[in-house]
Amino acid sequence: MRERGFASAGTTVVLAAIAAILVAPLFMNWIVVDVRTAPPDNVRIKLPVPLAVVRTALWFVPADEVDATLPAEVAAQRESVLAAFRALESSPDTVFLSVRSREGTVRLAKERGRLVLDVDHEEARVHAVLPIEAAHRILARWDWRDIDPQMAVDFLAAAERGQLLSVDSEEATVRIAKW
Amino acid sequence: MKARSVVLAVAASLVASLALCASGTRWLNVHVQERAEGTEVSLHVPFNLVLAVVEAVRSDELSGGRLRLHVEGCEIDWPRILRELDAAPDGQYVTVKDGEADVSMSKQAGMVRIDVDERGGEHAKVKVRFPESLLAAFRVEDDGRLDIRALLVELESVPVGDLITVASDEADVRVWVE
Repeated sequence: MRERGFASAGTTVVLAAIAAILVAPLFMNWIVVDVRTAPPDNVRIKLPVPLAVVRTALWFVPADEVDATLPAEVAAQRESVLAAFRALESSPDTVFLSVRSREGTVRLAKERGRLVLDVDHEEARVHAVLPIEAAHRILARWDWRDIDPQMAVDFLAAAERGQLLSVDSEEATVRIAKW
Repeated sequence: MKARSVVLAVAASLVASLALCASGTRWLNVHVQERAEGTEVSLHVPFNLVLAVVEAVRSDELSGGRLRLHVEGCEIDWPRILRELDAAPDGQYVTVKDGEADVSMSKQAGMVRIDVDERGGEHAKVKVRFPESLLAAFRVEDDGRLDIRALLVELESVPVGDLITVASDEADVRVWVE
């Protein structure tokens, strides 16, 4: 009886662990990179990766492989760039820029706290979304000297779920989305 | 002819500088409607964002909030012109009428008014209106750079309305504050 009870408890723990492993990804943030190239290559790469895995993987990358020191001119822009982000944050939702011509249209707007860029050109269509508050927060705590890949992960973690970037051109389509 | 060049240079500098200027919670608006290709550009940005961008730009033309002026064909003593204009009473200062264009510059009720009516070329009609107080902030450094940043600060007190309108065969341009 005791053995059966022990076995039941053990089974329950194992099943719970399996369930947790199976269910956990549903609650994780996933980044999906989808690249398709036009014929004749017809390459299709669809890479869904949990953000936590990317973050963990980056810990194991040797620092000298990813670290790069930026020129001092970049750091000199810090206050101005942060000021621009403060201005963007305090701005109400609006269209900042719109360009319409025979070749296409460009639209840069603030929508629900995000900077949204849409380019519809005869050669390519681009849609990009930048979460302003998150970008500001991440840039404010950055030292503006060394490139830190974790910063990109922080940025993706802070972004809303949905499509972050899409590019459609004759050569390829690229989608980066967060699930 | 020299006076006309001076006025045109002032107007051109203002077009270049005011288009970049802004302050406080006000909004800078620029609308360009080009005729031949039908291109239309609308810019609607808060002043503090323009200021941040202007300060961030580092190029040969614009650096540290200072814009390099390109005036060819005549040497202009900017500080003197601006000092004189600032101190002068209301009135019509410059009126030039020749085959190329009618140019007038006046000061009235605290507002500086520049009008250019081009007869040939693109038949441009340019109207520039700005408060007299902006003149004090219109600083040109010894190296010929215009201090945009000083203008930005002063523009905080600019009344809402049109700063520049240009109507020509090539395009219509409107720069205004709201």
